[in-house]
Amino acid sequence: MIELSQIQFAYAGNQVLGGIDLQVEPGELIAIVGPNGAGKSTLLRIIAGLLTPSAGTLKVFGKPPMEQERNQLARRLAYLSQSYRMAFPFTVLEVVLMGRYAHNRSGLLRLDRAADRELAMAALARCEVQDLAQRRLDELSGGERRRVLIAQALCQEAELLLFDEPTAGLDPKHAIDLFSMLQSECKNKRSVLIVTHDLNLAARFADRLLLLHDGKQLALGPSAEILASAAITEAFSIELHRGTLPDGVTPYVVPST
Amino acid sequence: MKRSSPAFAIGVALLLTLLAVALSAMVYGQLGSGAAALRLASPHRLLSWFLDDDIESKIFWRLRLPRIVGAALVGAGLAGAGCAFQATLRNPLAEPYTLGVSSGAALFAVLAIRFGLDQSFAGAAGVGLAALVGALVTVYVVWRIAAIGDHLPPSTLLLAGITVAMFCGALTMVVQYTAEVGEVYRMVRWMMGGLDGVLWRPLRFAAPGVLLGLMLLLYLARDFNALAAGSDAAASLGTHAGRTITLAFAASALLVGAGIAVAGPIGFVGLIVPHVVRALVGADHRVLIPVSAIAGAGTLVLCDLGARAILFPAELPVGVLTALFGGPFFLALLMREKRSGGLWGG
Repeated sequence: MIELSQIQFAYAGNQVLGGIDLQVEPGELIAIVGPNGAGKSTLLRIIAGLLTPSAGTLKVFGKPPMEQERNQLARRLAYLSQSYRMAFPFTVLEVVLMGRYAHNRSGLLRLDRAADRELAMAALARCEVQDLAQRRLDELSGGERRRVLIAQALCQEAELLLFDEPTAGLDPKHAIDLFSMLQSECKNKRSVLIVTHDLNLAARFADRLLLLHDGKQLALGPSAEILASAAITEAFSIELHRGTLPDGVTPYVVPST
Repeated sequence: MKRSSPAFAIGVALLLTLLAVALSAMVYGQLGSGAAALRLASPHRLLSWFLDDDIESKIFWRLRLPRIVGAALVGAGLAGAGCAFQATLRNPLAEPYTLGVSSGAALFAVLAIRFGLDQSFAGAAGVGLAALVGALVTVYVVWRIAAIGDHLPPSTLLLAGITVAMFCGALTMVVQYTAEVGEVYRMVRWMMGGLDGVLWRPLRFAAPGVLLGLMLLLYLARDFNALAAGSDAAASLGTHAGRTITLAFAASALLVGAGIAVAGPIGFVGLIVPHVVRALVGADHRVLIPVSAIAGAGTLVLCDLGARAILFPAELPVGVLTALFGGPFFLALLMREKRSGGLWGG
């Protein structure tokens, strides 16, 4: 589904990313972790086709994303950025319906169809914000807004979901709900790439972790393995206490310094 | 706020605009024995103007009707272009002249007057045409300055527009400084914007431009929605931001250029109408643009009626009237939104 080989990215002469190798198969949930400024968001934007890598090869669905027509790509790939500011007072339902735009291109005004509305309401219900459908997006709390945007991405029915810190601003219950929802999406042969700072949630739900530090790929592998490795303490420059949940399988870390 | 359905909103806007057109058509001036008065024609009399061939009917057909149609076309175009500029710059305070369009048009118009184009065979239409060329050239220059590949960052666009506007403003002053008193008067008068003396001929050229521009904006309306959260979000939804902004720019240049060629620069309609309509029907551009265009037509017809009536038998340039009422009205709107915490875009 995604193939990255020796991807590099430079911005104004500064190397931001170097030597990233990653292959993502259908049904995989991969968490990208690392300290601030490690290049996580840049990597996600490159995969979304919003930035062109300065070197290396990148294929999303078999072709470089920058060479694909945006509308065609949007039917298969949904990207949710870290920051989101809506310039006008759209309602929640209107925002979620935007997820259907790539699928519906008929008529001069390209109006929303009844089927689109049903899909949008179902997506809102999955994110537990269906009661907010007629409210203005800019009137909601940060967490509610985040869940509406996740509903928009779900409404897009893409097979590849790229989420940049989707749990920022979510309370623990909704953060767990989101990860478990994404995990169940992966069972339907969807793939998810998620940038997160929550190592424990990443370890609990992701199949693999990609650890970045200073634009370099420090480690890539099964979550438990990465969490137990020395690379993670090196990347974050803190001492970590490692443990396992009572189930005996799921690892966790807490700072010990 | 409870929002009305699109069909209802378009219907109400159409009805109000038709009322404004009817009212404007029925008001006529009569110079009596020394005293001037405005009267309202009876529907029967209005009908006789339509059907008969007397002098009153000729005045109606040849002078009043083109003026009303001109006001409607210019108003619709300015309001539509206002929506497009606000959508592409993602700023509810943008308006058709934000990007220096009117300054560029004014520069070309004063140059045309300075070189006597309005006194030549071309007449006032020559100045209108020069202004149209000025508007298109300015839009192209601003676009070329701001474009980075196929990206058009709104903030760069805004800065480029303001800089070009200031430069054109300075050049306009230089041209005015070197002009004769009579020329300066005609320049200042043109810059006030007005619909007096609008005949069918220029409208025949302006109407297709306005209609084409509005159709293009209607087609782009959904892309404007996608653009509201920025170009990355738009791309993720399948909308090519750079392409949308470029097309919107071309459509707006057509609308504003046609409007300036007919009536000179008329401010505030393109800013206020989309703003008020958005508060009534919501942010979806597929509703906002058609309702704004219709409401813009009605607003300018009404303003022009006011411009004819206030100092009757003298006339106020309609651009002065829209600015006089538009400014305080917009401030009141801003204060209200500030109090209710509904000020978006900040």
